[in-house]
Amino acid sequence: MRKGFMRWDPAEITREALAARAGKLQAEMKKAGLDGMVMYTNFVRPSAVCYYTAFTPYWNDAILLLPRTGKPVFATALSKRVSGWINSVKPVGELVNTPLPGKVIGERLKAEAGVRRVGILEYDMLPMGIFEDLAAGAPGIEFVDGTETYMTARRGIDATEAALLANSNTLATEGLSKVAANPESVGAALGPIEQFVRLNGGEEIYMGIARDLDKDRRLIRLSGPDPLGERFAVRASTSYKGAWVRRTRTYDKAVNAQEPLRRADEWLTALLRAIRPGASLGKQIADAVAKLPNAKLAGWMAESCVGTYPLAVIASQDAADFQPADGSLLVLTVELTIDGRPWIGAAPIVVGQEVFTSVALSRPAA
Amino acid sequence: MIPLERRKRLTDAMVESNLDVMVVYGNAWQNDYLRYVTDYGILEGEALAIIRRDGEVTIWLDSINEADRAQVEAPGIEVIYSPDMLSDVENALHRSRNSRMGAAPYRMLPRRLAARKDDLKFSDETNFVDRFLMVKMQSEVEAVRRASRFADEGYAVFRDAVRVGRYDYELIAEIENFFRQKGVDDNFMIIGVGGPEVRGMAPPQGKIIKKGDLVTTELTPNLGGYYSQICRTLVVGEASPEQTNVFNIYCEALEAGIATVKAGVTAGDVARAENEVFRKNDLGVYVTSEYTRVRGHGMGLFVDTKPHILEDVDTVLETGMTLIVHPNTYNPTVGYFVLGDALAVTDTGADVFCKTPRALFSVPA
Repeated sequence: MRKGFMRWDPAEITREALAARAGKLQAEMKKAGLDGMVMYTNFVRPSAVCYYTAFTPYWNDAILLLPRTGKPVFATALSKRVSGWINSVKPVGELVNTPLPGKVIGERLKAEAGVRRVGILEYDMLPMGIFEDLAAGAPGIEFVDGTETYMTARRGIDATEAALLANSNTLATEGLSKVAANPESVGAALGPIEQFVRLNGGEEIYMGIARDLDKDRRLIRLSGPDPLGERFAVRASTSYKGAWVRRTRTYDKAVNAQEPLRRADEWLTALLRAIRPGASLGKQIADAVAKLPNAKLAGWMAESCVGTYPLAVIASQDAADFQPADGSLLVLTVELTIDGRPWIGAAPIVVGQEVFTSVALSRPAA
Repeated sequence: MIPLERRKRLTDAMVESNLDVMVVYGNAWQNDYLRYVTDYGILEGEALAIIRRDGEVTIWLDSINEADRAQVEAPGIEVIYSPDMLSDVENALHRSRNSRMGAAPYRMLPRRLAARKDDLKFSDETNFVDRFLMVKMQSEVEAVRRASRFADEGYAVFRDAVRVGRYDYELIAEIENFFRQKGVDDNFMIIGVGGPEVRGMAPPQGKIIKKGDLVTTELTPNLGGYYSQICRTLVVGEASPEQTNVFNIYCEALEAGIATVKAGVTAGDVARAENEVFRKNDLGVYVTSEYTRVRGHGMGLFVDTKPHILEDVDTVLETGMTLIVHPNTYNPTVGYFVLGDALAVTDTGADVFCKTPRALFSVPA
C-alpha cells in the first residue's frame, strides 16, 4: 500500500501542467480515431492515472476516463468516506465512488453521443472484472488497445515531472547515506533509510538487500535481525508524489575496501553523464567499463516509466542494441566485479540532460 | 512448514474435485491467492502461477527484480522471469488443455487470459480457493496470532510517538522503522488526526497534532505472509466527556460484536449486533455506507479478505476463520472513531488475539 506522505501541492503540480498533459493525449487520441481513453490504476499500476490526475490510490483500484474533449472522470472502488481526501489530492476531474468502477464508466460512455471507439491502456492486462463491467455498461462501443497512443503522448519528461524525479532521487540518495559504517543487522541498515525517506516527504519506499554480496548478488526483501556480510548492497526505490526512481549502493564494512567502491560510484556517475541518445546503450556501457581499471561487466538493465508501472525494464544486456531516446527517463542498474569483488550500482538520468543533482529536501509542513 | 501444508491442502482438494491444474493471479495489492500457492510476497509487477495436482508449482513474474527475489524467497517452486507473461502462461495452459483446469481470482485475471477461458478450457474457481483463504488451518490461525503480537507492540510504539507538534507522517516513519528492525516486512496503515472534520482515515497528509485531537489508526503488520490488525483511537490531552461517551458506545458495539462471534452465526449477525448499539443511541445513520465501509472483515494472507462483516452478508462463520471486528465509523460530535480487535472464530466463541486494552488512550498535551 501507500502509507507515506500524500498531499497535492498546487505549486508543485499545477493544474495547467495536468491540463497540458491531458491535451497532448487528447490530440493523439484524435489522430488515432479514439473517442476516449480508459486507464486503470491500483498501487501496483499507478503511473498513468497519476500522470494525468496527480492521484495514486493507497489501496483498492479505479479507472480514469479521459474523453476526447473535456475533463476526466475518475471512478474508484475506494468508499465514499474517503471522497474528501481523494478530492484533496486529485485536483482534476469528476470523482465517483462506486464498488463497480467499470460499470459507471461504461454507462458514461454509452450516454455520450458519438462515442464509438475507446482505447484502453494495456488492454490485455486490464482486470477481467473491470472489463466485463465496462463492456456490459457500454454495449456497441468498440474497445481497442490504446497503449501505442498513450505511449506517443507520454514521451518526454516535462518540467513538473523532472522536478518530482529530482526530489525522489534526492530522497533515495540521502536515504542510502543513512546506513551506518558497520550496521549490526539488516534491520539496523534498512530502518534508518526508510525513516529518512518517510520523514522527508517520501510517498513510498521499497527496499531490497543483498546482505552478503560476495555470496549472492540478488536483492531480496528482508528485515529484522539477520546479520550482514562484509560487503552488502541496498536498493532503494522511492516515490515522491508518484515519481519513482531507484538507486542501488554497495557498502563494505572494511575500511580498506572503500576506495574501489568510491571508484565504481564515481564511474557510474560519469557514465550517466556521458550517455548519448540514439547510440547503443550496451556499447556505451561496455566502452565505459573498459576504461575502469580492474573492472568487469557482469550485467546491466535500464528501466523507465512507459505505462502504468512506475518502472519497467526497457533494455538489458540481452538487448544490447537499444538506443535511448533524448529526454527520456532511464534508471540504469549496472553490476560489475571490481578488483575481483562484486559491486552493484543504480541511478536515474534523463537522457541527454543533466544527471539529477541533489535538491534541498524539506520536511512537509502543515 | 505452513506453505507446504497449504499446498497439500489445496492439491488434496483439487484431487477430490477432479481439478488437475489451478492458475492464480497476484499483485502486491491482491496477493492472497498467489501467496497461498507459491508463498511468494510479490511487491512490484504482476504474477501468474500454476499449481498442478501433484503439488508442482511454477510462477511467472513480469519483473526481473521480483524474479530474482522469488528464487531466494520462494524455494521449491519453479521461478520464471517472463516479460511476456501472458503468452508464456497461455502456452503453458494450452499444453495442459486436456486437463481439467481452474483459475482464481477470476475478476482480477488479465483480460486477455480470462477471455480465453472457453478456448483454453478453464473454469472460474475463485470460490474454491476462497474457502481455503477464509477457513484456515490451525497453523495459519497461530500465524495470525503471532502477527497480532506485533500489532500490539506496534501500537505501543505508535502511542508513545504521538506528541503535540508532531506531523502525522512522522508517526508512520517511526512505526515503519520499528517494524523493519523487528522483521515485519509489510504493514497496512492509515491514520486520522483532528476532530469532527475528520470523516475517515487515509495516508498522512502533513497534519500537525494538537491538543484535543483524536488520533486514529489501523495498524496491520504482516509476518510470514499473514496480516493481523488493531484499531484504536487516542486523544491528545484529557478526553472530553463527549469523547469518553463516544468511546463507550464504540466499545459496547465492539463487545457486542465479539460476543456474537462463534461458529454457526453469520457475518451479518455480528454486524447487526454492532449496529444495534449505534441505532439505540440514535446513531443508526452512521452505520450506513455513507459513513462506513464494513463493520469488520476477514484477515489472513490478505488484509481485507472475506467475509466482510456487513448486515447483508450471510456467510456462516466457521472455526478457523480469523477476523477483525471493528465498529469504525464517523461520529458527528467527535469525528471519525475506530476500535477493533483481531480474533479467531471457535466453536464456542471468539478467541481474541489483541492484548492492547480497549481504552480511549490519552497522551500528554
